[in-house]
Amino acid sequence: MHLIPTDLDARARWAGRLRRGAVLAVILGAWEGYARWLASPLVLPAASAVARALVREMISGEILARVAVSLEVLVVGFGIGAALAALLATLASTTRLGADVLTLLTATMNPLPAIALLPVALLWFGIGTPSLLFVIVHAVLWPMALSAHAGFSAVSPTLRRVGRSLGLRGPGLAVRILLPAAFPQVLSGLRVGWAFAWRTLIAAELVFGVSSGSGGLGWFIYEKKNQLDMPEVFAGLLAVVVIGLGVESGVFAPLEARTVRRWGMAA
Amino acid sequence: MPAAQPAAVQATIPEAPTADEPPLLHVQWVTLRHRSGGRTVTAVEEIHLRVARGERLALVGPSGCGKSSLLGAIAGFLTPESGRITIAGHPVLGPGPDRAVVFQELDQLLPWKTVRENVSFALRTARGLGSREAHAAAESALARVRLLDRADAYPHTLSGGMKQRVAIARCLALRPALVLMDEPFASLDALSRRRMQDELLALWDDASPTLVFVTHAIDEAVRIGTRIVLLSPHPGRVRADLPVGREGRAEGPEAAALSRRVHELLHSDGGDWCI
Repeated sequence: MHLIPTDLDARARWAGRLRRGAVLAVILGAWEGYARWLASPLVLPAASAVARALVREMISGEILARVAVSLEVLVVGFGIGAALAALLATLASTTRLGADVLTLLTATMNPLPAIALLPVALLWFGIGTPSLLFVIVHAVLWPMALSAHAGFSAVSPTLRRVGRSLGLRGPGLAVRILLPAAFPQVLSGLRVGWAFAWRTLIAAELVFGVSSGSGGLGWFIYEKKNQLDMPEVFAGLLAVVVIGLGVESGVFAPLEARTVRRWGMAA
Repeated sequence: MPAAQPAAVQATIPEAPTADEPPLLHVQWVTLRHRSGGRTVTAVEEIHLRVARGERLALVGPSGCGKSSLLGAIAGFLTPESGRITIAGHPVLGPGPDRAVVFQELDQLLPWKTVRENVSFALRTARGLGSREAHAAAESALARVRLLDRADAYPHTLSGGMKQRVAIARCLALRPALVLMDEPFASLDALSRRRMQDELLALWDDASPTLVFVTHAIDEAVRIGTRIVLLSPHPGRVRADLPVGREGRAEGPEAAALSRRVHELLHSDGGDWCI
């Protein structure tokens, strides 16, 4: 009895993959055809040329080194941002003043694009990693704090009471009841934060990204543009997309399946 | 046929200093108020109740009579504005493991824990059991509500009735002195509700804890309670206090007569509220 739905599920999944694959193939084909017709690699390199450039860069290892530099900054910045967001959301959920502070800060800071802070960051921290970290933290802190706070506030009064009647209070209640109960929102905050951080980092590296000689992926794109090496530029852009998708499907999707979906808490 | 004691009469009788042993639950002239939309609402006023060990008290009243608030105060979630509540002589200062609560809401199980973990987590947290002990106690509690085969399921895969059975198992496994149930079957369909009432009664034996069971359904109160306390609304006051008998579980014509009596009492109040 269980076999039939599973079989259908698998079939539906494969059909979906096939459909998406077909769409991708059409797009790549159109790109290749248009680029060849245009015959101007400086404006639009052909898909095949970009693929060759990507393979070349992978083999030489340059693009991988750049990705490593970017990811290192990203993970540190994301970590600092997430820790600060947890602190802010906890304060906001436990004290009225904290809630006011969070509301005020997010209302003023959220509309401010992280990149717009780069000039200020340059003045304060100079060219280098600290400035990048500053803008990444700014990019991820507010959306993550907001969604964590929303998650904590949305925990049902019944679950709070269940925890309290078991004798839990304060930090015990927060860690054992509130955090898991708010996990769907916390997870979506982490997701949004990660996407923001990645985009912001690439953009910031495009503006300046050389710290002690080896820049990140954004800087790679910028350098190659200056050398008018367009297939390499497109290979860099492709790497940005692939890493973004990879983190989503390699980290967040499995995490969601193991937690929120398994618990039946998916929104 | 047990006689009714109207609240007015009961309230004028001063507390007789009879028993050496304090009653298991003693609600002493409790008034509860809360703020709602800028106004102060009196939920219950001057409620006085003694509940002896082993009683099953059904607290009945229409919506807005403050019965859930009163239960919340006994559980320690709400603080009375005046009066006090004691459990075996000790004043209630907050929630505690001597009282276990079953809520109406079907979301009272922790969704991130399996059925078994829900029970064992409660045992480890509230009774400080080791994980092996808690595991074994959880299994026997689940066996009592016939849900051992669903021990590894997550709550969202259970029916409403099953969820409430797990909540009851969790509550009984804690071995509290007092069990507080706040309309635990109100979210279920009529058939499951009837079945759950039977199951609850089957679980109850001489060794079982004292029960305060809040409901707005007269038939449920008559089936579950060994004693029925009727609250009138706005603000909640004790309208009547009806003993059902030691065995409780009024059946047949006796139950019908009792239900009728409760109905009459409710409607003699002016009839501006009904159940």
